[in-house]
Amino acid sequence: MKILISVLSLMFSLNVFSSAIMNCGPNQIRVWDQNLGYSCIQHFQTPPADCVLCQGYQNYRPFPNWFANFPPAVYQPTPMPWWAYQGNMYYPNLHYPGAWSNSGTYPGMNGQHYDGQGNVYAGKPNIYVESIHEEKKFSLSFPAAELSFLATTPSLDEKNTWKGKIVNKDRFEVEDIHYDYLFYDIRLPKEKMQFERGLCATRDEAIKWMLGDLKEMKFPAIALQDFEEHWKVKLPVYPFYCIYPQYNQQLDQVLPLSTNLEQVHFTRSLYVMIPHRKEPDVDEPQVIPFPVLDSVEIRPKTLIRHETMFKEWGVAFLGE
Amino acid sequence: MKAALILFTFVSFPSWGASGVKGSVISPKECSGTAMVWVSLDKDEYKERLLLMHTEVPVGGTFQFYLKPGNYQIRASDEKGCEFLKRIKVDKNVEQLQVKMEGK
Repeated sequence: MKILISVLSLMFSLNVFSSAIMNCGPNQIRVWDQNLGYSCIQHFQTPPADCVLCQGYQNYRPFPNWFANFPPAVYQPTPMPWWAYQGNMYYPNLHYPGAWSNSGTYPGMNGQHYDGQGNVYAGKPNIYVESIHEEKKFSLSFPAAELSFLATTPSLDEKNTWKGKIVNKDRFEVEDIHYDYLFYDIRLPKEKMQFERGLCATRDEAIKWMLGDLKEMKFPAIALQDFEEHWKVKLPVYPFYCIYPQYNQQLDQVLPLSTNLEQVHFTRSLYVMIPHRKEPDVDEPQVIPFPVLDSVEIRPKTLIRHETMFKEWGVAFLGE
Repeated sequence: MKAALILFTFVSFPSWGASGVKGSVISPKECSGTAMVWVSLDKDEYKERLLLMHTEVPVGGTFQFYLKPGNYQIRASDEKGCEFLKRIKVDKNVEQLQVKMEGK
């Protein structure tokens, strides 16, 4: 019995998604790798000196991706969703979340083309629902006085509210039309967000980490599928990203949501992503400090299943 | 005086996010059930279109883009190749748009 417990403990400790190392010390960077899990380092391992083509691109371990320097529109190593093939024909910046700029401290959104205020551009927060009810009237509102929406589907009413029914336990019906999720793009202020918890990873690992994080929060399968499909296309190809997750604790202050329903629970997550053109290195001063603390500590936990559970994911980028 | 005050209020304090495009999607049977609606800049200096945002909208569904005043292209496409394209000029109001998909 003792042996069994020991083996199980060892297996648990080797789970790369568990927080084997909770927090890092000063002058360290908290990083994640799907094979090694979390670790604290001072700088990312430099790629092999003779690997010219893989400099600054994607995951160089264990083998360099020799095709990574080709523009995505020309070479796609993995099948893309239908809309990406069509978008590629018309839009050279399809593989960016929107109008993009490389001229700032960090690559980021080019704010001159967007309405409103706020230096955090939240792309595609999607809200999914799981309910015990086959049919239930709902309303979901953004009560803040000043809001800088960029897009919504379906459109909000004049009180910044979606009204309709939850149908078939997991879909929304608004004005007789069914939606898998409610969608919005918005600009948000950076001030109430946290920039000390999170991790840095390569682009591919970052996507895997976020998917794993959503799984830990029990997001439904369709939400995970949509996330992966969208961000594999729309996350710009930079070699490294630092991720600063914002959860209920931050988002409820920055962008409160309210509903008419009782027995309801929200799980909210927004991953603020900062691209890095080269290996993160603590010796190089940063405007946004590298993450050193564990984000799992602030991740919402749902111990009780409520009648209706809203789950929201989004990915955000800073303005240039 | 009252009229002047009301006029002043409208002229001086346009509400946030008041400009843009609000639309709905209509598709004939031969088209697919969901359309991707794209909004890009429509400027002479952009020989290639600069994509700002896009959203997936079911047939009959609605969407809204909050845009600065300017010229834009609204394009919609679906999995079966049905399309829609309209160039629009956005001023300080919300333009109403019916995205009517058409087969090739």
